[in-house]
Amino acid sequence: MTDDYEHYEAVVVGCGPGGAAAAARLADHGVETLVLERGTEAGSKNVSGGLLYAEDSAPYTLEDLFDGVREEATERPVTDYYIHNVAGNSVKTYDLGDLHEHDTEWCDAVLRREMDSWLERRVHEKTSETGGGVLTNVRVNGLLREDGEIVGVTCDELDPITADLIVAADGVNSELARDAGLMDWEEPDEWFQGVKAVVDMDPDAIDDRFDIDPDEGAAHLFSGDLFEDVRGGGFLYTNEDSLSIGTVFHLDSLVEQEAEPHELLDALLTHPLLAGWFKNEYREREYAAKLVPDSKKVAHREPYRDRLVLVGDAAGQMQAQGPIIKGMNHAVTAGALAADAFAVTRGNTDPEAAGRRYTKLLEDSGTMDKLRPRRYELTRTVGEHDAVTNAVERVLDSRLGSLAVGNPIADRLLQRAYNSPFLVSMLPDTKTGYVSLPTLIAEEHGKTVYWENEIEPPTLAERIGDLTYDTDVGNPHIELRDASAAASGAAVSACPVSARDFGGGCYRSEAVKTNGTEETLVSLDTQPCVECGTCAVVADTEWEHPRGGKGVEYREG
Amino acid sequence: MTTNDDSETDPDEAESDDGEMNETEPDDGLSHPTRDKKHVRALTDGDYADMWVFCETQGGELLEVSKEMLGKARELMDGFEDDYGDEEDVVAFLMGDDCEGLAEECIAYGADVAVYHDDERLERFLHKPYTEIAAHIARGEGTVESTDWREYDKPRYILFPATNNGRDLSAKVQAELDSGLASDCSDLFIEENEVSNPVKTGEPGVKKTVEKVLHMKRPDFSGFEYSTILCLDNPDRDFHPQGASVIPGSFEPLEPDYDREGLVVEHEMDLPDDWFRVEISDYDRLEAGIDLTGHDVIVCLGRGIADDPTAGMELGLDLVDAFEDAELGITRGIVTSSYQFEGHVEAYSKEERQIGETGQVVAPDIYIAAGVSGAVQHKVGMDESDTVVAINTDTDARIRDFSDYFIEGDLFEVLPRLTTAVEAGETSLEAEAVADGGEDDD
Repeated sequence: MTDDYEHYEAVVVGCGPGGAAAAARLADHGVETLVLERGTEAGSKNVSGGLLYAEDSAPYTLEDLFDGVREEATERPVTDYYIHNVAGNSVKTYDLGDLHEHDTEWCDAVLRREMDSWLERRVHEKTSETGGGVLTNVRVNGLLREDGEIVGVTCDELDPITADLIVAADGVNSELARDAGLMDWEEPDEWFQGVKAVVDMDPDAIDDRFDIDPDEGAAHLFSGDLFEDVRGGGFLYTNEDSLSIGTVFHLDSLVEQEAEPHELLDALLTHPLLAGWFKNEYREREYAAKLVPDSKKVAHREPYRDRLVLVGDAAGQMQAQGPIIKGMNHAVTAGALAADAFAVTRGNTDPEAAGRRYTKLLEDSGTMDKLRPRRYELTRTVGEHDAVTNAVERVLDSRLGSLAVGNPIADRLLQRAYNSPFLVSMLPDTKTGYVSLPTLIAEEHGKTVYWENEIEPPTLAERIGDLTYDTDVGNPHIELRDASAAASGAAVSACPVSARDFGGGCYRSEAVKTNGTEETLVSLDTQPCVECGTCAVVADTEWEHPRGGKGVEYREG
Repeated sequence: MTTNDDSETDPDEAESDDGEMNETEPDDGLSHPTRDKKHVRALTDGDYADMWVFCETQGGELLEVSKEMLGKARELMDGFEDDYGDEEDVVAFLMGDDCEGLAEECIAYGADVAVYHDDERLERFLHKPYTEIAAHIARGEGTVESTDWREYDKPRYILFPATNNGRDLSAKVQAELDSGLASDCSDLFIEENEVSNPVKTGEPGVKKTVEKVLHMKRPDFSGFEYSTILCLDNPDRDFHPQGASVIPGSFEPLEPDYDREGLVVEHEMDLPDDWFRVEISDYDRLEAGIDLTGHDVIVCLGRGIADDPTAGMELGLDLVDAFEDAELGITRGIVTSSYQFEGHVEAYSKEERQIGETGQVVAPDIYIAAGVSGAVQHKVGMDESDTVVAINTDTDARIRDFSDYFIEGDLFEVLPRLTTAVEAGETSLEAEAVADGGEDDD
C-alpha cells in the first residue's frame, strides 16, 4: 500500500439508492466510508423510470436502512396497477393488482432528485460518524492500480484515493465497471432506453381523475401499436403533485425501427386514452432520459474484481420483464449486501474476499435469480429464435390467431397470464409479447376510446431549453470517433435529445461536399447532452461522464 | 447602487488605526494585538512629499493602467499646488530590462521625475527583487547621484496598479515602508480631514484637522457600496506613504506630450543573487481572441447555411463589410458541425466567434440573425440587442418570438439584397411581417 495517497477503509462511488445503502450499511458496521458523488447533489444526475419496491423476500429494503424515507422522500404508494393494451383507439385494460402485490411489502413512486438528496444527507450524517462523509461535485474517472491490482480510485478533482473496499454505484454507464473490464457497451439488445416527462398536476386533480384517495397512487402501463413496432411500452405513475409519464424500449429495437424517442413519448402523451386524465391541460416540468441495463442478459454473476464490487445499474441489476421494471430495490439490496460482505471478511488478506462473499450473498438471498431467472435462460433459445418468432407472428396475424385470442375463455386466461410472475419472467424479448399480442388483444377485446386529446407537448427544442445545464465549455465529455453515417448515424434518431432535421440537439446528420463528392457525416454537440449513454452503445464514441458538477442537472429526476 | 462616503458623514468611521486599512471599530483593547509593535524603521514627524506611481510594464511596454495612474496623479498634484501652494512632483518609478526609454515615456504621460532600475534579471516580475528595489528607491537610499534630486524621508503618497503583479507588490512594499494600503480603488482625491479618535489625536476629547489626506474610494460588495479609506499618522508613529492600488480603467490617461521635460534618474543598487533564487523557466501570453462586444451591428449565421457553408459565410461577411462598425458571429450549431469551409472563410467558423450561453454575450444596436433557429442557449447571448432582425425560411422558428423584424426567406437570397440595400442606403424590401414579441427590454 502506497503512503502517498489518502486512504479510507471504504470508498463508495455514486450516492443513488445503491451507493446510499452500501454507505449506510458500512457506517453501521463502523467502517470509515467516503462517498463520492459527481452531481451537484445526489439525484441531480438520476432519473427514475420505475417504481421503488420493497419486496417481502428481499434481505433489505430502503426503509430498513433509512427510517422515515417513505414519509419524507418518496411519492405516492401505488395502490392501483393496470396495463392497457392499445390498438388505435381500441383499448383493453387488465388489472395487474395481483402481479403488483406478489412479494410486495410496499411500492412507492419516486422522483430521484427529492429522494436521492434526502438519502445523501442521511448518508453524510452516518458516514461522518465513522470518519468519512459525502463529497459532491467529484467525478471518479477510473481505477487506481498497484502492480495490476485495484487499490483505489482516480478523480478529476482530487488526488487518487485508496481503499480496502471500492463500491461502484456509479450508474448504468459505470466508469469503474468498464475500467475493470466487468461491463461493456457492445450490444444494443442488452439495454433499454427510458424517456420520461414529469407533468404538473394538482393533488386534488390526481385524486379525482385517477379515482384514488390522497394517500393512494396509481400506476398505468401501456403496450400495443402505439409505438411504431418498437418493442417496449409506456408507463404513467402518480406522484404527490405531478405525473411521471414515459416510455421504455429495447435499444436495439429503437435503432432497428429508426424511431425517435421524443416522438414515441409524444405518441403516448397525445393518445386519446390519456385525455381523461389530462383534460386538455398539459404543463411539462422536465424531460429526462436514461439507459437501463437488462439484468436477465447482463447482470454480472460475479460483480467484483480485486477490491472493487459493483452494485445497482453498474452491475446490470435492473429487472425488466414485460410489465415488471425493478431496479432501485435491487440496488439497495446489492449495496447493503456488499457492505455486509466487507464487514464479515474484513480481516481477510485476500483483496477479493469481500467480492466473493458478496457474490454468494446475492445468490443465497435469491436476488440473482430474480435478476437472471433460470427459466428465461432455458426458454430464450427457443422463444427468441427467429424462426419460432416468425411462426408465432404469422399465427397471430391469421384468422386462427384472432379466433384463439378473441374468445371469452382466452380473455380470462390472458388476465391470469398477465398476473403470473412465473410466466412474466419467461417472456421472450420479441415483438410478440410487447407489440403483436397486446395489439391483437386490444383489437379483439378492446373498447373504443372516444375522448379527444388536444394537448400539445413541448418541442424537443423547448424541452432542451427548459433543462438546466452547466456546460463544461471547451471540454466535451464525448468525442465522436467515427463521424460516418454507417458508424454513428443511429445516434441521430436514437439519442433522446437529437432528431433528424433538428440542428439543436447532440447528434446532427449533415451532407458535406468535398472535392465534388457528397457524403453524409454525423456531428456532435455535447451541450444538450442528458448523459443517458445511448450513443455509447449505438455510435462510435469515446464516452465519459462530465467533470463533477458539470453537464445536465435534473431538478425532478 | 448607493454611495456611502464615510468620510463626509462620520469622520471617525473612516479613520485608520495602526496602519490597518479598515473601518475603525471601538478600541476594546483586544482588537489590535500588534498595536504596540515597535517597527525598526518607524518614523515620527518625518518629512514626506510627492506622489509616486509604480509603472508596471509588460513585454517592453507600459501597461495602460500605468498611464492612467500617471494622468490621475498629474491631476491630483496640480490640484495639490492650487490648494496648498506647495509644488510637489509626480514621481514614476519602474524597473525591468532596458527600461530607460519607458522612463522617458512616463515623463510624456505626466510624471515630473522618473526613477528606474535597469537589470536584465528584472525582465519579468519577481517578488523579492521588485519589493526590495521599490522600498529602497522610496526610502531614498542609494548613491548620492541617484538620490540628490530629493530631500524627504519617504513619499507622501504612492499608487500601484491593481493588476495581479501590482496587488502583490503593493502589499509587500507598503509592509516594508511600514504603512497601509487601500486595495482596488476606483477614485482618489486629496482633502483635509477632521479626526477625533484619540489614537490619532493623542488625547481624548480633542479634535484635530489633518491636511493633505489622500482619500481612497473603493467598491465593496461588488460595487453595491463604496468606502473611502484614509491612512493617517499616529502621534508617535507615522504611516507614510499613504498607499492605494488602482483598478485598471478607473482613470483616463493624458495625451502623451513627448516634448515635456522632466528628470530621469537611474537607480543604483547591488542586487544579491539570493534575491533571484526563483527562476522563471517558461511563460506564455494568453491570446486576445475575438471580442464581439461593443459593435453597432452583429451579423450572426446559424445552421441555415448548411446547403453551402462557404457561400453562406461569404454572404455574411459581405453584409458585415457593408456596415461601418459590424462584426460576424456564429451559433454553436456551426462550431460543432461537420460543415466544410474553404480556407478563406474557415477562420470565421471557430469557437471564438460563438454567440450564446457557452460563447459571448453581445448587445448591439442591430442584431441580424440569418439561418438561426433561436435556441434558448443562443437567446441568452443576444436578447439584449436593441433591434433584432431574423432571416429564416421557417416561420415557426423560435427566433421569431423575440425578433423585432422577421424576414421569411432563404438567407442565400435575402443577404445579398440586404447588403445591396445597406450599401445604397435604402431598401426595396417590403416589411412582410413584424414579428410577434420583440418587446424592447430597454
